[in-house]
Amino acid sequence: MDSRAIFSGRALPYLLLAPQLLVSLVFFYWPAVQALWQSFLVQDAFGLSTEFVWFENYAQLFKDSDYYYAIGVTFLFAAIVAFLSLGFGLLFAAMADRHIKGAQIYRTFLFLPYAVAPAVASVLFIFMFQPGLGLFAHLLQAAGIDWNPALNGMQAMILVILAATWKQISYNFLFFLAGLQSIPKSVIEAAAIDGAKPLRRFWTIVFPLLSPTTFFLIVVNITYTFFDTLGIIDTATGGGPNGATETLVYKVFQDGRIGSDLGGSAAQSVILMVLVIGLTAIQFRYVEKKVHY
Amino acid sequence: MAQVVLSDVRKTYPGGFEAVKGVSFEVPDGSLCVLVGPSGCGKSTLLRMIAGLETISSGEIRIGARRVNELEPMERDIAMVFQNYALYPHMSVFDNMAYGLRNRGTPKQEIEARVREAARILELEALLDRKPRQLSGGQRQRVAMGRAIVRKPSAFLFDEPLSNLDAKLRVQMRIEIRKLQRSLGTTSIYVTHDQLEAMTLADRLVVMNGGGMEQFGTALEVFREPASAFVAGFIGSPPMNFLDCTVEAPGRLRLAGGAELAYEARGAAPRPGAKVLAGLRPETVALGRAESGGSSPMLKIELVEELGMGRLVHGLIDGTAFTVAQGPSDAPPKGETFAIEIAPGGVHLFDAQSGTRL
Amino acid sequence: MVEHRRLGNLLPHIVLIAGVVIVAFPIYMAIVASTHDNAVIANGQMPLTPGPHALENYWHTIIAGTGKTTREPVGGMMVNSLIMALVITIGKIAISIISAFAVVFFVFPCRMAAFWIIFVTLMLPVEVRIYPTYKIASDLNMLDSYAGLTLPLIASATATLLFRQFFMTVPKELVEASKIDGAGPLRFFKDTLLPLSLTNIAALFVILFIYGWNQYLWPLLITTRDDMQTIVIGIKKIIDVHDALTEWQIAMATAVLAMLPPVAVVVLMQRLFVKGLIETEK
Repeated sequence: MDSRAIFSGRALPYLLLAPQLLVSLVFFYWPAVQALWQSFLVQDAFGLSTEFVWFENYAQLFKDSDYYYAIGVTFLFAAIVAFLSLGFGLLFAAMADRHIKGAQIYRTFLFLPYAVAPAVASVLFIFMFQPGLGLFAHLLQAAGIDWNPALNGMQAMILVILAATWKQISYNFLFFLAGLQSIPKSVIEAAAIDGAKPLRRFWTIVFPLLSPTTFFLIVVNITYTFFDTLGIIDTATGGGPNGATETLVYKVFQDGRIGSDLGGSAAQSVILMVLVIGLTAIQFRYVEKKVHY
Repeated sequence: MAQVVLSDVRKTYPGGFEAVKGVSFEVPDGSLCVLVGPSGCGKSTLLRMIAGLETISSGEIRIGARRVNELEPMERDIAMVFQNYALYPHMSVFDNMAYGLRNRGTPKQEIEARVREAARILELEALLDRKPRQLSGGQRQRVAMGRAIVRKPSAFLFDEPLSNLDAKLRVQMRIEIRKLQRSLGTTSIYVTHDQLEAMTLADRLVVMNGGGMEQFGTALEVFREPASAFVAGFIGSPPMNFLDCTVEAPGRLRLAGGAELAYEARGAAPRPGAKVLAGLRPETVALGRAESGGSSPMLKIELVEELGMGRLVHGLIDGTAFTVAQGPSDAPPKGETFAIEIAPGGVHLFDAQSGTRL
Repeated sequence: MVEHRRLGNLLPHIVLIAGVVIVAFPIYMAIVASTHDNAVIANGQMPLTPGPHALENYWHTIIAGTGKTTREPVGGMMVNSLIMALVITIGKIAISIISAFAVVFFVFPCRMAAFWIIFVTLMLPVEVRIYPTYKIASDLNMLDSYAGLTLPLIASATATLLFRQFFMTVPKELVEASKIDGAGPLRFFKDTLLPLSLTNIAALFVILFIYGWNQYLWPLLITTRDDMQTIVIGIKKIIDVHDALTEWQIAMATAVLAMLPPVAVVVLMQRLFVKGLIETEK
């Protein structure tokens, strides 16, 4: 910031920053440090004494097949949700970018899922797919599929994927739309005059120019499926059946709730922290490199 | 290579706004035709209709012998240079120029040959690997032109291509565009709001105002025989002076302040007492005697602008602003009031109501 | 789309209508379910059109319980949600704007350090520090309180970043003119900066309100008393009961009510909503 446009004040800036710094230190940093510290400890069975064990908790995790299973679940979940919600988001944005009648109404509708809480979205889908009374459960049964997400791991996963995708389409739609609208109309016209049919125009001109937005959204979507979907999972499946929908974050939540392995749970948290830092760093590094026209 | 013919072309927007009102003209094959006029006169809209980027409400446009009303832009065999160049930001200069040919399935070797040829003509050979954001305004302009000429279309369309360049570059590029068009011989239609650009580039001018065409002709025709007061006032710099007069008798005008002006009467003479606008180009007016007396209109000088290669004498005649352009050999005015002298043939007469030439 | 073909204009409509159906259908189903009797729903015989029990169901949901399950009437939960959302929103905006103001318009030791401290909190979403944070809140006696519901969520790096970015675009001449006019920093803030920031504040308000209202994990942990629950976690409790006892019509009515305020905000303040999302993600 320019040195001329500054106010002088000794105590004032600190006072102004105090609330935020205070809350950050008390509720963000201190817990994070605690988690880090705890990840290096092991408690005995009665919770009476603790022992400093360096990275043993981490080593344990990486030998734990449950942990690997959770990693698999998380990545599968992230990949499918990202792919579906990005695909649909882009499709709807491409269609909504035209000057058609009612574009505004379409857009308003497509923004709705963003307003719905993940947990509530989950409830909506639970209802529609509830064996015995949900509309889609009926249809699936009629098609000969034995539908019961409470028992069938893959079906539980599908349910959760549907709810998460449904919610995320809004967000991607909004950003893709903004990205599309920032492409100068004259570039599209030039491509049309240059003999490119609409589909070819889309893949050779529009999509490449959309790549900063796409990359940004991929990172955000991955972060979303890793963390924000906890509400969906907790409401819909509780991580079950048998850990079929237990993502890494959910595992931290579950393991910590039971409270039996403080160190292990803390180690999981720390690993996730490192992951978020990595994702956020990529996001900020990349956002600065947006293409200029 | 083709003629472009417009017949009574109209464009009305859904709300009822008429952007283009019945325009008709013929662009001879191989010529550069300039659409010129103030902002909002419909010239860009007309160009876009020729390109196929806007629909035609009524009338017909032919490129070559083909009616193109129903054809999509890519089917009309035209190439367009946009005001902001509209280069593909993610492609290199080479790919920008090759794109159109690739879309049409041209064989790779031919693409290579044609792009290099265009690059040579436009002096872009060193820049073929660069991306648009690494180029200057003038270079981007040339790439935009390269993209157009590589396709060897029937017609070029230019939409104010020089507006985004600084003044000096504009003059340079103007000459280059002219030379390029002459050497390629492609029919071109060029839109600008700058009357100087229009005059220097055009084989034919289409002067537009408020959606309608005021005059079609060569630069000299439009300059010497403007069809309306609008054209007379728009073309030429410094702009034409206008004085309110009434016709005393064929060949004689009377100004509001009582002074008299002689004009060359031709054709049907307007009736005595008719109100007219007399148009006098600043460079055709000379300063006469300093004293009043006599019947010549008197110019009261307010400001003299020295140009070096002459000067502009600004003043008032009967309260109306009036400018005289003097050449380098004319004596600078010493004094306040001068009679003005003009050859009768240099007075343009326009109907005071409609503005049309008399 | 540059072309003007008939069929080409039909495609967007078809796709978008399909999109609207996908997006609106689950919500529609919930609305329909909230207007029927539970017996009809539980038997799997719920039609696709709304039923006659709307008023009755919503009354039961919001005001009185039905006696079948012991849980708080949703009306109370909505109040909790509203308080939580508003406090978080206003709190975040207030704290962030003064922090951004300090970082941008003052020079002082540790300025950049303070900024980085705030910035790094972006990388610590509540889900990764959940239990230690809970322990601290509990140690501070914040369980089952509005303070506990809101304070830990109130420091937001995104809002601070947004304001900082915006403040950096304020022409320095404006500051200089203020100084010449004898204004101190606080006066500048109140008379000049704040009015300039109104659109940004409004846009942030929309996004943060939705964020606050839709919070799940943190309220779940920090509230145990029924009367402190928010509507978003209240829903889970309603469904959590064994299948046969789940009062679906109440659950769906609750879902509809839970969706109402954020949806209303998005629909009525759409432009601000879009602006807010885009600005906070840059």
